Amino acid sequence: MKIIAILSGKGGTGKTTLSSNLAILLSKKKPIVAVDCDADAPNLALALGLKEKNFFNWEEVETNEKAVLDEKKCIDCKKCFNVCNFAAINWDKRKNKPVFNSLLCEGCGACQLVCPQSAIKLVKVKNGKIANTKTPYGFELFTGQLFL
Amino acid sequence: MKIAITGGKGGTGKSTIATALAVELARKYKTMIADADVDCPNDHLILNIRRKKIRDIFQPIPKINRGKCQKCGRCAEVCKEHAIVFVDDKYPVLIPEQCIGCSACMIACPHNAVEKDERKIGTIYQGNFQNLKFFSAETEIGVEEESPIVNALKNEVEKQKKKFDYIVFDTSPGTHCNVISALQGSDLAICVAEPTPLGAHDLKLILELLKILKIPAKILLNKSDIGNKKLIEKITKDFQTAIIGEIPYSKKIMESYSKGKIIEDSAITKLKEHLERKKK
Repeated sequence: MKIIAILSGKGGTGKTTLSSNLAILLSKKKPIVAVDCDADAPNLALALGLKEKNFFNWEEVETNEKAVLDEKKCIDCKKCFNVCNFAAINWDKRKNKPVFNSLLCEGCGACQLVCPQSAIKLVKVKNGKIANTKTPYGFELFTGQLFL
Repeated sequence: MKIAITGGKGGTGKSTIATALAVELARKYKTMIADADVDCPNDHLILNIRRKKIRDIFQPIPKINRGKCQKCGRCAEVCKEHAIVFVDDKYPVLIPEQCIGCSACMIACPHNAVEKDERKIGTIYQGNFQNLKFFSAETEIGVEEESPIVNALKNEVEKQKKKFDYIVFDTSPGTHCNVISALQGSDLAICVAEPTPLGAHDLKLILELLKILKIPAKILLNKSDIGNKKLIEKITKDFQTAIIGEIPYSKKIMESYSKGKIIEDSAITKLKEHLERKKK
């Protein structure tokens, strides 16, 4: 088996267009499978004439964790705020408490480790889904979609 | 006023619009453009700016002090990125490409054997195009986590913020980490879209994200006369936003673009006027 990656630095250069056409051509000669690895903004299914509803086996995946604070245990020591390297913890000056921004949290756990009160927990998050289906051209397509 | 130029899909014309808008605003106002597409920054090419390096961006990276290490494996256990490999009775081994610089291993080590080292992850640049101020940041090849690079650029911009009427932030395509970092704090997001099924799909994703971030969004339709505009108009209704400008597909614009030049179009002037009204 050969694995061919279609890539480029720039956006909109035609990666999906080339991938879909190449997949169709190759599938006429050999058994193939196509994979859309652009989980951020996946389009290969659309280019191959498929919509989200044409996939029947969507499976949600947990590949990340997010920090969650138990405010009752928090003693305002600011250690979590100071340790976060991803600007995911802001300091609410009025309440004198940290505010966790789940969109920016990498789930690295540094804040949990540094908290002297065990006030921070990491919880698993479902952060995407994957599925596969047969394309109108006869070969299988695997695709994924990250959640926002 | 901070305006983000974004769009979800790649190659819709974000950098083309961002540079043209910034140049238009700079005719009358104190304006800065910040290229936050740290993956593949291009704005300096369109503006023909020779960038001047301001500083390097570093991230913390662990260095295992073998004199202190007791081979307990705690550092590898806490590393969510699997950047430290540990085998019983051996010293832990770091895979630097996997490390995102979170420092969890340094905090967790019970013997203070994980020391703080640094590695370069990017560079911040500045420049000028006439009276338009330019900033950008570029990621080192092979660095996985880009949010810290966007955040470093934002800190640099923040220092200068008071001097400007308008700051135009050009983002990466997509909807994740580094785009979120670039978008946060914006007063308005302009989504550059194209009227194609792929364009519509990715526009929906970015509008969904902007809704979560509570950033007002408007759409600028590029190559507006090819494809199917109805696709975009439907989304406009669903998200209660509006198309505030259309740039038709024209040979003149494509020629400017292919030469890496700033484009001129009445939609850019209209966009500027929209921003003037918003600011008042």
